[in-house]
Amino acid sequence: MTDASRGGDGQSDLELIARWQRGDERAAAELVARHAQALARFAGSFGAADDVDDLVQDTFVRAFQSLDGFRGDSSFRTWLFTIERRLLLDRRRAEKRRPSPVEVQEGDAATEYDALDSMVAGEAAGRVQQAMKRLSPTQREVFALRVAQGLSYKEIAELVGTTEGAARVHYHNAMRAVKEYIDD
Amino acid sequence: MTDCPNAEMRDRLPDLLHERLDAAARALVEAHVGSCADCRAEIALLRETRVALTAGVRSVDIAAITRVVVDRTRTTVPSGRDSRRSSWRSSFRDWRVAASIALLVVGGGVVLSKVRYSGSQLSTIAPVESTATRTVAGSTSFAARPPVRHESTTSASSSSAELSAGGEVGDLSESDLRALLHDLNGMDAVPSTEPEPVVVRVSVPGSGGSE
Repeated sequence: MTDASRGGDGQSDLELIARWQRGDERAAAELVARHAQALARFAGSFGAADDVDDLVQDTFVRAFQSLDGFRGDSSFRTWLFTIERRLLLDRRRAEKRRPSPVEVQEGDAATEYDALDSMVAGEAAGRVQQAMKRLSPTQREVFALRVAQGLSYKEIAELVGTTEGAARVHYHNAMRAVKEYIDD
Repeated sequence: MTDCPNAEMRDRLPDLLHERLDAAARALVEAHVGSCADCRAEIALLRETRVALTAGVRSVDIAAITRVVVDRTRTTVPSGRDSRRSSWRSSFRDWRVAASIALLVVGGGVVLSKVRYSGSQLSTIAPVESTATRTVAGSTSFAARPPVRHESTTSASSSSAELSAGGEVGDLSESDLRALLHDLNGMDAVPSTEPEPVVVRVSVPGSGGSE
């Protein structure tokens, strides 16, 4: 596996973090440039479309404020994903608590991929989106992290809070279900 | 669409898609995909899925995000230099406090031991002097006092040394006072300053007697 935490300048994320902690703001800029787009894709794969910039920004702010808590056990990007995922879930919970003027119908139960309906990505992409709606929430999440973000099973397990083996099983079950839907 | 029987290769297809394989592994997987129709179909599906999941995501403004992140965290994250300096200062302050305490303890101990030493010197010297005087006095009588007297004198001197070391009589506990009284009771009377009469026997030739 290649090291995704090393940029073109050869400096690792940990080295950039150390530079930032010494007061070098260029290191912060480099870290943001290195991971912001991946965080945006991650948010997009979870259905966040409108407030991606805010979400990415809040993720970095929270991460930089708690860098002392980053032990380097996982990659910096996985740690950022974990923070962003938590922010996303908090926002969804807050939205659910907020009274909606529109009556919620049976079957409208929000999934993390409802916003994908608004995407226009061609017929094939539309079929994939429909196929993913048939997956369980955990299967969807694992599948999206593996396919859209290219995370390893180990990283997915850390992020989702499961085991590496369970993440692998979820991925393969999801892939089988998507294939079956597309073949029908 | 069927699954490739090589589960290990299928497992690595997303890594191939995201270029997360090292050169050797990549060559291996690419060679397999080149000869496996199922894996080619699966990797095409993976590409479509990735597009579907990320299609609506626009580019984020990295410069704006960086500005906000730096502005909002600069005040909360101390720079390493400051952190090291404050750590050094803190460490130096700790050492100064520790050194002060150590100095006080050592200095106090030395002063205390000197005071005790001088007190015990005084209390020991006095009885020794009296013993010496008494010995000189005793030696003039030629009849040496029994050794018991000398022992009791030593005992008295040690009691008096304890008294001096402990400070004043008021500082002694009840048990100490009892022990001191017991020692004093065991002592012989204070020796008289006057020498005992010396009996000199003189024999006078021809008198048939003595004295």
